[in-house]
Amino acid sequence: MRQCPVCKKEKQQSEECCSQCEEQQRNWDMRYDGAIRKSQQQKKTIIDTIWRFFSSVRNGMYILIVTLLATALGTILPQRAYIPPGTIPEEFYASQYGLFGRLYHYFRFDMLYSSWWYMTLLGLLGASILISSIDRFFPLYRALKKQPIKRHVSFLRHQKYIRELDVQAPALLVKEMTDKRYRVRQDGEDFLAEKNRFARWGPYVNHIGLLFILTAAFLRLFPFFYQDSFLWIRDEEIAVVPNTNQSLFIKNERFLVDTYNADDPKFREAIKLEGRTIPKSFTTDISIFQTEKHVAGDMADLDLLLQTQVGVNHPVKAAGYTIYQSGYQLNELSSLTFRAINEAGQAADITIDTKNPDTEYQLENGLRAVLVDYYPDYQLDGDKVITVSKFPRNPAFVLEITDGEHTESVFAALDEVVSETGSNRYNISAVDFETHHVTGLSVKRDRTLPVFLLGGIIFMIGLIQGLYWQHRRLWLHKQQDGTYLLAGHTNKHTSSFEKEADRMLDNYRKGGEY
Amino acid sequence: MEKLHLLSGQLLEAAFISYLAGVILFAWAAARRKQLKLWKLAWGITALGWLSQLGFFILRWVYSGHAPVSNLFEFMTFFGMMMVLVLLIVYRFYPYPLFALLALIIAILIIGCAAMFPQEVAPLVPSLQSHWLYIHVTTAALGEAVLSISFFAGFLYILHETDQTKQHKSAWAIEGLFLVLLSVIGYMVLAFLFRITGYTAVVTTAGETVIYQLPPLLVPHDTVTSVLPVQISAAAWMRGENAAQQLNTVIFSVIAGVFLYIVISAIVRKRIGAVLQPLVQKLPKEALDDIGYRAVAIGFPIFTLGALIFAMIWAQQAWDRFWGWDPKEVWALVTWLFYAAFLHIRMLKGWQGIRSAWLLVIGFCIILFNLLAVNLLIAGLHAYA
Ligand code: HEM
Repeated sequence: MRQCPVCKKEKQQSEECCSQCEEQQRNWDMRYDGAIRKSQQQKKTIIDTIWRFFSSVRNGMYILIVTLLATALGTILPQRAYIPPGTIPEEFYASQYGLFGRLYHYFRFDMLYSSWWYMTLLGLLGASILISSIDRFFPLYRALKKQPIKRHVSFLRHQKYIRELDVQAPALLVKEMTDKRYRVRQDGEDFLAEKNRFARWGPYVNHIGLLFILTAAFLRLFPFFYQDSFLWIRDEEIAVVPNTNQSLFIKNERFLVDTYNADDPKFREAIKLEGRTIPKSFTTDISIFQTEKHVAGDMADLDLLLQTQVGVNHPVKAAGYTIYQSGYQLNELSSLTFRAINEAGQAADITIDTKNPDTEYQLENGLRAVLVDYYPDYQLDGDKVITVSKFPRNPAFVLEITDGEHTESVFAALDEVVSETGSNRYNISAVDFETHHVTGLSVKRDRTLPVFLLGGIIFMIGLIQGLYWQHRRLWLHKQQDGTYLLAGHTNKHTSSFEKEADRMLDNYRKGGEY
Repeated sequence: MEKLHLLSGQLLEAAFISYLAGVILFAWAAARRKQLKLWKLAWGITALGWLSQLGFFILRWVYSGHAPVSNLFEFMTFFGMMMVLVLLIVYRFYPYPLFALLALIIAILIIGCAAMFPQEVAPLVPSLQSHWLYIHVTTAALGEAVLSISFFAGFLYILHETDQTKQHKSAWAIEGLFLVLLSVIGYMVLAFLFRITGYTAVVTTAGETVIYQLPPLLVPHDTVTSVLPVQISAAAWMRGENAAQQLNTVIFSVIAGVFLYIVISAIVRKRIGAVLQPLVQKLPKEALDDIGYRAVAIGFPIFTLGALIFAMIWAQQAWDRFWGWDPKEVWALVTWLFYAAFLHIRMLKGWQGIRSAWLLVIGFCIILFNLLAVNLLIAGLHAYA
């Protein structure tokens, strides 16, 4: 007595399978040669239900399509990361896109890709990929590993490709097959020719790659794996990289912008069309310093690690971090000088530093100025003064100027000085300013990158393995009457497989010749 | 050097003319019984055109100093060129003139539409100055071209399977697709006519002046002066570069397309699908189904490599993050998810054949959406493509 490969029940010697399974065979899923998968067993615990849900390709595809639609949904309006800096999201979406924008923002579709439900979708997708693969891998492995060479006639007759042959000398046909790189095995008078079985593992390999990528995306949430910071550094200033325990410093030696020559005959037209100069390069000469134990404010104990240039598309690696050129500010105001004239007509200058403005200034003509308010990048919003960024591009100050008796409040900027008290007792105007450039460097440590890359490579290998080769099998079975039955199966591209098999038969029939 | 530029332009024109000749020959071949000579001639002329376009590509590269895949004009011509390449290869395995004809027409339309965008040689901004630019864009375009082949097969399959006398829904859907095709052809004819008459119209908006090549029916929402007595303002949320102007073009194209459609229907007195069906019926439908699936199987890995993996490597270098949810990136992901879904759905029972063919039509729409609409409607980081 032998066991039936399908239902594991005992069966008669003569049959390849028991009669009950024979019935089932009619609906055989050739993908796993009819082997039973875990999800198809009749058990009813919660785990089984969950397992069954995720192992179904149909359910997996529902998840995939919902993910796809959600992904597309996020592009209808710009994501919050791409709205103009300094604007308030709520107002931006409402004013730009009306009611739809308001709803879009209300449902947080403006931050869709980091929303809990989008993450959940990705998680479900991962679960689906993982479970459906495990569910199929083992039965497939068994089915392919323990392939009988002799197959039951009903199995063969179920194949799409069937040819009846009055073959006399199968050896010639077998030779035809080996010439086409089939691996032919023999059992009695039956043959099994097979090639590219490894292609069947392609989906499993590529799914593993996908799981690596999803895992890497998850790991990114932890600071150990992913840290990023953004530094604005003025020319010739030095900044500490955050979260490095005060051990890494970067100095901006010089920031440079190069632009294309508008008279270049090649690019003249395009530059004219663009209507402004087109940048050629953004680079910063930087020095990177490292220190063991840094005493705040003391720069003397810094060790120079590296002096180099960082540019767009040319990041620099240092001390486990990668430094990218990713922003700049041109001609920020470093300081503004105002001239204040007292009642006696004596003039004196106040110079206000835009980075660390003092709160009080004692002037030579006896006046005293107190800084009450500071707007680095001011703009009028109705009749309210606001700052649209924290960068001193267009700074304005509210000063209280006093000679001990009279105090006057003035609003002072480069282009206008307005007395808020209205008395205009002291004549004030801007007389000078200094500017500097600022480089924006992004400093990152991303330990998930190798995992992403590995995942990508595995995924590509799996894709190519599974999609550029096809598993092809041909069974040559000797029937009772002495004729042969040729049956074939391939996991994809049936018509070219049939073409190949027919060509072999053709050659064989013309036979004899060789 | 100037001469080089001139010559490269002429090579593109030569390629275009060869492709047109290819279309005529393939159409002739499709209408007649098997004639190997004619088939070969059609293939040969198209291949010559392709070589000429390759010459355009190389000369433009030499002249500008960077691979000409850096703006929409260059990218679309390249995409068309890849499509022709794939078609030439597929034709060796599946020599169906009708199939080649459809593919060639679409490739011509794409190259023709490329001319809708500025053709000047533009210098590269710093973030584009990377070898990954060519590696990424060329592989992505090749992948998309192969995926498009699956659409041609799917479309012919649908045409083959639709019973024009009974299945009205699907018959009308086919007519819809023809209408889209005719609209694009209509656009090319209009653009050509207005160009040779030298028509331009100036529209002044609050911020700038826009020059239209077609009458400005649809103008930007903040228009101050224009030339037509009747005009429609575009919605304020359309922020892509020159969105109103491009949508204006689309409107004219559709009008022209409808006009062409009516003219053709009046002549043949049948649905276009019904006219073509007898020709399509000569093709083996299993082979069409196979080509459709096969093209996805081959194109999907190329697309993944080019549009996602290479793109991410480059984005990591240029923008310090390999993924930023920029609309163009997102739509590459949507395309990828869609074809992944296609590969799985096809494994389900009952999803081969006609249903799978319709999926291929949707897939191609997604590719075109990413190619054009994302630039038209949504402003993003990918200044061009
Ligand atoms: C974006 C996500 C996914 C990608 C890129 C992907 C990719 C692939 C590819 C390329 C194949 C081979 C298809 C073919 O040979 O025609 C495949 C097969 C398969 N995939 Fe996925 N897949 C994804 C998600 C899923 C999900 C969510 C499921 C869950 C149900 C799943 C289950 C399967 C199964 C069961 C197979 C067939 C395995 C076999 O042939 O033995 N995949 N996948």
